[in-house]
Amino acid sequence: MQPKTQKTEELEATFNELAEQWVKKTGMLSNSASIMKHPAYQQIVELGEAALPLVFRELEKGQMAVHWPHVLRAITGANPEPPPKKLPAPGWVGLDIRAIHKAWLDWGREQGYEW
Amino acid sequence: MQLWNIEEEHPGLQGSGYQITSESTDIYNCIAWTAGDDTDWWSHTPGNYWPPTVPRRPEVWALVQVFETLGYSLCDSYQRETGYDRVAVYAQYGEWTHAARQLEDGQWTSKVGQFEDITHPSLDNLADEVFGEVHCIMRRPTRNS
Repeated sequence: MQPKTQKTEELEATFNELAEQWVKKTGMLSNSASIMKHPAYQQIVELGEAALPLVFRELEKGQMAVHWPHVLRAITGANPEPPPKKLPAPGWVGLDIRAIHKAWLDWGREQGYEW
Repeated sequence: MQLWNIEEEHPGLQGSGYQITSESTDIYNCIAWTAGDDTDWWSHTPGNYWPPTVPRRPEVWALVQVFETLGYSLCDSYQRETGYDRVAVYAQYGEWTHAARQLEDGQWTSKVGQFEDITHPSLDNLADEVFGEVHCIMRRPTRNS
């Protein structure tokens, strides 16, 4: 792990504040579109690539598990997620959030990010 | 760290006798919970589960269609009906916000976003600035296992 500079500490503080706001203000919502309309989400995305290690760290913690992949897709434009799994009911498919997390964490390491 | 207070966000729960019935989890949401699935987050947005035959739209009619795919149809009665499973769909400004499922004793069970499942006596307990109003009730004949 690289030693923290003042700049990375400031970025981390900003990110943590935005992430907390985002959870606090949208945690009771189910509609993902409303969750992503919140200004804190937009501001996290605007932090850009520099914030990716912090996003990967949050992803590993598990909080907002289902929403961090939206942030990662928005910042990177990548999508390493596995295809949806098939469910027993005809024509139905489902997502495996743990597999999605693993795919993003693997992708992050492959791209050389450390967190 | 406790990031939220459920009664602050949903003041209609205060003094209602509601009960928290699960741990917090963001693996599934209220739509999934109402549909009987505790493994996915159901939302019309890309990257979330949504029944493939239903348009990925934010309007409440799309969520009504989701429950139609599960065998539910619109009904008029707010009272418990023997022989039927019943769900309620909430909306605000024409867009879906929440869903709840009625229990055998007449109370309702809701998953509150990424937080806990709760049991609440009335649909009015969650009709507020966050979830808006009850848009409709839907029912289907109870499936005997």
